Amino acid sequence: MLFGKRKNKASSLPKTEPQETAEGVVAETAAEELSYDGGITVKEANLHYGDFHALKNISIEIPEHRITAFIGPSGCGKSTFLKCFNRMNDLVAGCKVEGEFTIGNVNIYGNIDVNELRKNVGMVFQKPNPFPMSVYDNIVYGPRTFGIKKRAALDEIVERSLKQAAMWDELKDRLNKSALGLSGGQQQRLCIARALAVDPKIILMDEPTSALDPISTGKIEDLCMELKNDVTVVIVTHNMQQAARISDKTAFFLLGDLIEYGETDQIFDRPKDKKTEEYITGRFG
Amino acid sequence: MKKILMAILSLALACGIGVAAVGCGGSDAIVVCGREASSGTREAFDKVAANAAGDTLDDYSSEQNPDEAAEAGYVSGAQYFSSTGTLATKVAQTEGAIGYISLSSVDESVKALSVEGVAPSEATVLDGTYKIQRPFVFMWNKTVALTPVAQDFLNFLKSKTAQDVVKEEGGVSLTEGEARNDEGAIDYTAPTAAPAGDKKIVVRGSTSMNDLMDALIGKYCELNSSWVKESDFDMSLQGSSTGREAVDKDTTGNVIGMASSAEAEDTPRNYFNVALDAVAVVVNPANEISNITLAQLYDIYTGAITKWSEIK
Amino acid sequence: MNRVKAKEYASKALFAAAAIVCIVAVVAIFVFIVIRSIPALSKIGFFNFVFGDVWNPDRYDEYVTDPLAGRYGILTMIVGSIFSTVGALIIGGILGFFTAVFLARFCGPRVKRVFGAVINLLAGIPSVIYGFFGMAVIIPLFANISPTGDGAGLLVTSLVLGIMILPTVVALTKNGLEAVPQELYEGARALGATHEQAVFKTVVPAAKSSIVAALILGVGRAIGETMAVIMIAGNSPEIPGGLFGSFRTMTANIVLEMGYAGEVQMGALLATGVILLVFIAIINLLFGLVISGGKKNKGGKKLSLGVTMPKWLNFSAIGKVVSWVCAVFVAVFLVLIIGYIVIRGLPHITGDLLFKNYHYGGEPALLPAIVSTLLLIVVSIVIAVPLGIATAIFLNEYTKKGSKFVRIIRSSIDVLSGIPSIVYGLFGMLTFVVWFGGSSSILAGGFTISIMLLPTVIRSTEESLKAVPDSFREGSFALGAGKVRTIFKIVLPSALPGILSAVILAIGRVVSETAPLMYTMGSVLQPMPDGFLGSGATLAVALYALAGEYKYMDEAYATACVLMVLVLILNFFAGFIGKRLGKKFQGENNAVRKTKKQSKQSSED
Repeated sequence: MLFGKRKNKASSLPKTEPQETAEGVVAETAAEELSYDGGITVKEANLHYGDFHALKNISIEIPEHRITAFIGPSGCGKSTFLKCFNRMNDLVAGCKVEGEFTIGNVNIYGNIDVNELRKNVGMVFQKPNPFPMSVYDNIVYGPRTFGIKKRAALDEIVERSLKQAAMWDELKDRLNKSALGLSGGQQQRLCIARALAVDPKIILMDEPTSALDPISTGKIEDLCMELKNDVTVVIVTHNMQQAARISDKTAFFLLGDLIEYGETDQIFDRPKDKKTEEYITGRFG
Repeated sequence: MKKILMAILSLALACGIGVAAVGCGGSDAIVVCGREASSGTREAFDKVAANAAGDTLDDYSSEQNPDEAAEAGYVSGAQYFSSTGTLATKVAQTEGAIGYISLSSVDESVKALSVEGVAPSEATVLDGTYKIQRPFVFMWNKTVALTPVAQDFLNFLKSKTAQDVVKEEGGVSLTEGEARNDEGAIDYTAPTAAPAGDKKIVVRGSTSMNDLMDALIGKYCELNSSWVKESDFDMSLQGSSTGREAVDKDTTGNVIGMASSAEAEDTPRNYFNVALDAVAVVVNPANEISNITLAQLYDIYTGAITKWSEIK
Repeated sequence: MNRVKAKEYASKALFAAAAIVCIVAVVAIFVFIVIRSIPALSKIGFFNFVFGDVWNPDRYDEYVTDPLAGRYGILTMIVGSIFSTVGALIIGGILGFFTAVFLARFCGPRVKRVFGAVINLLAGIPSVIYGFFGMAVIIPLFANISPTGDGAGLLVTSLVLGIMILPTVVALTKNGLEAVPQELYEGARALGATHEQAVFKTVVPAAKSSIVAALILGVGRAIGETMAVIMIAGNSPEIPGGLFGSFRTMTANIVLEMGYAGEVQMGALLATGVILLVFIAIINLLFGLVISGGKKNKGGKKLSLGVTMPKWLNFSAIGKVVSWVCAVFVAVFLVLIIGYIVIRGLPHITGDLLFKNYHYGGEPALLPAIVSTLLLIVVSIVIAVPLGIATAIFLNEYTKKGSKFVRIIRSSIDVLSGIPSIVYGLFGMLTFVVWFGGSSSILAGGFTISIMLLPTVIRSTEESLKAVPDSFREGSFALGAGKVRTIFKIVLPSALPGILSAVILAIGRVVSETAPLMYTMGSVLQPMPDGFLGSGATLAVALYALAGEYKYMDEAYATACVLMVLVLILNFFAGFIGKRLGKKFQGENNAVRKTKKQSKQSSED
């Protein structure tokens, strides 16, 4: 309700042009040119949790409309790095990020609207976290946040997002049922649909299938392959087969360092670094 | 089935614990009950209950006992209650209990004793043969002039009409000047128009006078229905002492205080006694005793007598 | 700054302002009693005050008097409070713990629902009624085994206080037991443990910290209780001589003498309040230690509840039996107390008593009291609930986790919830009553009660907010929602059932409270209140006033009946709303618990 008054862009969101969106939300940062379209570029990123140096001098370029997988053993910093892209690390007390993060032409650690960033960079979490409300309300939560109130527009978004997430047929008759009644896999795909509803440019996935059975995992992997036509996907995974199956590029992290980054085929077939080889052949981790 | 068995078993056990408490018979011990120190009833009682040497309980509590472990009060182990209701309930429920409450509160659940052979009644209170008695007092500030409305209400309280209400409420009516500390009950005629000024009247003081004041206000409102509202009265009662305090602190001249024990001779307040009330010494109805002396009361409350058999 | 940011800042400012108002109000009470008691403490001497065993105040003592005529030592009262509280803890703690175990693990859902609802009903019965129940039912029972011929004193006080803390102990323990992940229980069963063994050896130790929390909150309630105690303890300021000796607690001392206290005496009474605060603070400190100790123990160190059983005793099987016995005992007690009120009161409920306006000099009638009660509920809820919730939001959502400042605020709020209500009454009398025209009024009573409710509302709201999994918040933030939207659309709705039950409990407290209202809102039966600035007695106060002179005991019990029905309606209402909300957020509780558990696991790996 506190967000309900921004009517200027109310109906424009579903098929929004980047310029319009930026105009609506980041009015005062004179952001006509701000666009999240494009890849992610990171230069010399460092991250500290208090005294702990969690990410060490990482530079990477993640291409648009591709699936990029982050792999590495637990605690290597890959999830932490992922969360830098939508600044979820801001919520963690004592977390300090240095370096240059650019998405499209936006310096995301500059003077920007974090909410606008998160609208453009969606996220799917390790554990499905649907809100305790109906399927419908879950999906329109994001659009409503950005001021869309017309029922017709919302209906359209729900249908589009659910179709995009390949769930429309499953769920079209249960839109008003609680999202918590869905199975784990359905919940996770609903979360993806929810992220898609605000029309993001990038979707970050933090081990999205680690809590799911193989069939649900398969469905989500298929979904990722579909999605890359529309969005850039960055996925953190423990499952190397998964990375090999779906990703175009793969980055291997170890103890806060980016050890190797390249085309997925190359990483898995001809790793340049010995540590990468050891990891993907299962010698540790 | 097993659960039902379990339930029955535990019920039996639980009841067993309860029944264990109901064992042996009663005892002869006196359970000494009194009121808290701010009570007007207690003040009246303590000033009268005295031993042969003339020492009253009042003296005992304030002077003779300060170094004892017990409070300035009664015998060690005595019980104190904060209202007539709780004290009376206690006496009604406890075979060996003794206590004191306003005569108007006595009902069949407790037994009022004769004191020095005199049963408490209107007649014995009026002629002074029943010793444990106290006045109901109305007080107002000496230095601040009363507001016209408060003055009119006071005139009503002083009137013969008010005395009729006192009788209706079962109090011992006082019309003569000497006992009232004024010139005697006056005639009250309701003013034809509302007196000037603020109409609020604040009533503070003794809870024992709650019923009487209720009836008096009711009558006053009836007589002056053209201009008085019941909500003009702000009545809050927490004991005689609070009534005195409210009168002393009055700066607007609209406080009427009530106390259920006699004002001291050097009182800083204006007052008159509207009625007399007997403080009845009450025991459990099962108690066979029917008469008690002031000296015995003194001994009971100071601990010299601890068993009912010592009185018979 | 764009509009979203402006809104964010404005909301934060608003929440912060609410928090400041709350904290100022709550600190004002604290400062008030401390400052008012310092002159008395320095006059009497702290040592003499705390360790003096003679309480013999002289109401004409003033700070300039030298030497003091009275003696002001509260050692006997301190001992009395400790004894009765420990007694209450033993009785109420054992009964409450085992009853909660029974409710959580040994009975069917229907028994659980009905029994649980009845126990909650206990929380809404005014303490005056407990007092009368103790005098009329328990004391005569005990008189038979008492060497003094009277059953009043320590034992009955402990028992009644034990019963009074039951709702608190049972509710919190039950919640704790139910929050233990089912997997733990299943794991134990899978290893071959019987149901009883799984419950007592696995589930109970896992819920240790909430059980201890329940007991400590119960202790807080017992040590602050007044109106029931002054009817059954005897109130003689001496150290109780055995189970049936007359004794006085600190709170009883305040209530008994507050009305007429002189200067030094008043200071000494307030200082008694300060000592009470110190006690509550110590209890809370213990609470904190236990909680942090519980966390340390997670590593698998042996957890015991302080009860070590010889090996040859089958502790679990005995536990099961004890649970049944305690539950039945509590049930019998419940039936007794409710039956007592109904039998004494129901026959005297008449249409005239309920629905006629009261006029001075007329027969007692309750309509004005019912109206006053409802008005008071409105005022206090309108003030305390938004303020309390906003403060809780500020503390929980806007401040850094583990911030020392917030921790201090939190623990002072906890301490303040232990101030005896009479002290709030005194504070209200000297502030709100004066502000609202110098005489008692519903508004003054409402403000006073609101301050009294704030600590409870803040803390229970905070608990509900904490129970909302962070994954919900993350999900919302990740969709680009700001803090305000996240709070109002995700966090608050999820926490609503918990907040609601806190509000209902608060209403129960408003309905059953007596002491502070007598000084701020009205102490006698009065005609219909003249708006919010008029004075009036609530039902509980009316009950006290009716019973006060022993003239309207029947009407008093009838009032108690009415009050009980009112509380029952409130509880049903709460249950109804809870169910409606539950339907709206279908399966939410399970989800919450699951997610919580999962996030715990994920944080470990």
